[in-house]
Amino acid sequence: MATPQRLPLAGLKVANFSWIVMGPLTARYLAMWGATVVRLESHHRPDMVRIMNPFKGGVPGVNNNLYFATVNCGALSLTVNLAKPSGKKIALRLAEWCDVMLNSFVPGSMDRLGLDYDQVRKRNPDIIYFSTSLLGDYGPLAKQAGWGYHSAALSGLHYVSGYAGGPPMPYPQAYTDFTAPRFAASAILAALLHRNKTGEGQRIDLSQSEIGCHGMGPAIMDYLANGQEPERQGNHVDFASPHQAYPCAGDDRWCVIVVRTDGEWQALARAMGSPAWAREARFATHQGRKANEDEMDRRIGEWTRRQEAGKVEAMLQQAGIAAGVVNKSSDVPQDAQLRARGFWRELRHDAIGPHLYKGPSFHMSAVADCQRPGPCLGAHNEHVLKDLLELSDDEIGEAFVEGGITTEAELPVQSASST
Amino acid sequence: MPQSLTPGEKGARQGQAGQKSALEGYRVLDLAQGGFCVCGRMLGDLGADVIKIEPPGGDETRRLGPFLDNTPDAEKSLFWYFYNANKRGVTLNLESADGRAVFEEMARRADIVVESFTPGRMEALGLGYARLHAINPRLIMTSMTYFGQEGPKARYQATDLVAWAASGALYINGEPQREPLDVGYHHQASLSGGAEGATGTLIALVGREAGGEGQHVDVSAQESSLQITGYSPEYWMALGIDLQRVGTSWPTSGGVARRLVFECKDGHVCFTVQGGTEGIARSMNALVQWMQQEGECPDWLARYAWNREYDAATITLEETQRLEQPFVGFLLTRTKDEIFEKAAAHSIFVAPVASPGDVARNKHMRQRGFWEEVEHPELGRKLVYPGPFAQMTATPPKIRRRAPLIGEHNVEIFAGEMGMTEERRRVLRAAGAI
Repeated sequence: MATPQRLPLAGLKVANFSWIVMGPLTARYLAMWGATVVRLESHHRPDMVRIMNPFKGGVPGVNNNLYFATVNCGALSLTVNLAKPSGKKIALRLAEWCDVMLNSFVPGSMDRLGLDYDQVRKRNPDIIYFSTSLLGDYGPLAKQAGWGYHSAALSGLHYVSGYAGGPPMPYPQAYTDFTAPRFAASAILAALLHRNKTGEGQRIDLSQSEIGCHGMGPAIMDYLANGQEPERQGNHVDFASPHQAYPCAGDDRWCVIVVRTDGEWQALARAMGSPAWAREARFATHQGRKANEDEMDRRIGEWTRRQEAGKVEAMLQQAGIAAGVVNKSSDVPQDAQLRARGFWRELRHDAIGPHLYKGPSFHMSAVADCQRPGPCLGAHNEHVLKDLLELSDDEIGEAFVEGGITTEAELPVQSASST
Repeated sequence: MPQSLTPGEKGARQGQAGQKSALEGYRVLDLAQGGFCVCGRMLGDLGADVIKIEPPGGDETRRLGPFLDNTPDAEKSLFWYFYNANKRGVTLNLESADGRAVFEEMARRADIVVESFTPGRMEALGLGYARLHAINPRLIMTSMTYFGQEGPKARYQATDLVAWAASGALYINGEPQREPLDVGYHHQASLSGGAEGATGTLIALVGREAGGEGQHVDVSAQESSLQITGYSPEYWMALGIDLQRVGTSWPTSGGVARRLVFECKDGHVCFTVQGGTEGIARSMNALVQWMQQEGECPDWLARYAWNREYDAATITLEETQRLEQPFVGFLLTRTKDEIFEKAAAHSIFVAPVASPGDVARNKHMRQRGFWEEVEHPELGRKLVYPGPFAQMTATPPKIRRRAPLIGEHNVEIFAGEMGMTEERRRVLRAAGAI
């Protein structure tokens, strides 16, 4: 097997001007595997995720949000007020220092700050400059802002989701905030490979709505090529039947069962104790099961309802059928598979103390990741300003006096929360 | 139906002639199936030479619909078209010793192998990572599976729905009294694992180019899907709140159902009545102002201070519904387009719940040049595709070729690039290896 290696992204310098979830999750991939990520923040306008639940124990505090700590793993927090000349100078210094710069503001915002690609490129010609927004950097509606819910709506993902005959059922988390970072990080890494080979930097523009489209490309092509709009069909699909979540014993407990072949159907019928209805010819073929799907689901549900979800999973897996418990959020920290893979890591956060963090979704055989908790607000000001940006003590002192470096005293009084 | 593009919409993002691709010169052997195919698609968009390896007769992914002209046919799967564009294709029977020998020959000259077989299958074929590493230490192998290479569920019979359920993503979506609901494009777990696979592959590649060797990247779709549950696990760990299904709403931190979708004149829009921060308050005020201009705003609403009065942590269901009520009526009498135009002009956080047809007609995306016309010579027509996933000024990703037909590049690759003689190819064909 391969010999242990140094972290693959060691030495890579990332200036992260983005906020909330999508940009920070992109930087997280880079930090996790060795990059130095500096997260530009401010006490005046703290990251929204810092000031909403889930706070540890429900106690509000900019350093007390478990999700912020997870999303920003490995980032160094630098707090700057861009409205002050000294703050802006620090931001420009950061833009000069880095290999990769990220922002997720409404297009035009970085221009107003003098931090757009053309400005930054004058000081750092081979920079990889990454921007992401709801609809991308240019186009007639580029300045429209929104959340990951809106990009999922704009791309069709909400429209196709829902029970048969019912309204669109939007996934209740900001969908593309979590799917787009993979595409973003991939584009950045490819640009980095190109730069290492040629010395040429570039600008990357990623529309989160276009990423939503990428997550259902064939359904959009069905319209483009065939003129067909999909109908909402709950959990039912044309390539498998059963394909459903079935109720089990206990409080809101469910188990999914998927049957892809007639052979698997026979195995399922045997596992259910070969009831007379399951032996009927009308259920013997995929076509027949699709034609009688609601009745089939109801009857399977009558069988699953009497058993525990975990037992259904074990019994059906034993019989060679794809089946599995529907985990609740309270189940995933204990999930045997996630535990066995070491997905959850207990790390000690300076304010929150020890708690579980999601790890990366992939392992590498020759190198372990270097996951660290997300930062407290402004925790790395001194380190970043002195050691990374190499500002003199005088420069730092002046910036403090002018308010270009923000401090705890400037936190706004937060009386309300948005989420 | 926009089956073609106007000249202005065509090639808006093609870049200048002579520009290189970011991953030019890297070769990828792609054995992945289903949604995991997106990994190779991403690497292909970025310029890698991706070779799809299918068993003779074609990969089973070709059986996934929808199909062009609704004709189920291995060469007409739109799923195959979309997630295997920018790849060449050969057929190779890995069950045969001859086929495996050819694969090893290809792996010697490749940079990356991506695969999604049930864990253990590549080892059983004698093509596990240890073997591939021995013949090509620089090779990166990326294995994308529903549960990862090891652990009690690694060899489960699994599908997207099973992994999605195991991640916690299924449970939180749907009506409280009904079954948990999958995202309506039912390949999200493998698409997540596939995209995660591309990221992992590229991290490994950067490491290799910095002086390291190749390595094995082991992706779990369950874990990839779990990332999409957002803060749900942290809600449980921090607050002891197990997020529940709340229908077309999403929960406030106080656990109150707040609408995420409103009916409008010709469909639905995605919108939430909320406050609590400056940015959100600005958006709400802009919408309220529009309602005032139209004479459809109750006095109390015009006076409501979204920044100060709204607190998601303490708001009750009754108060949530009272605040939502005027918007219900206002939006119901206007179309998706009217609402979105106003939203874009005044920075209101509302978007149409677009159908695929609405997406295809979206003026903004068309003018951005998102859509690409791709030549399908075998059909004698061009098809319009959603374009590459990002724009890059120096190395613009583009769709350079449609997905391969079954065995389309056998001669080009086996004879032209690997120098196989006609005689050897004849023997391999006779043995059922290619």
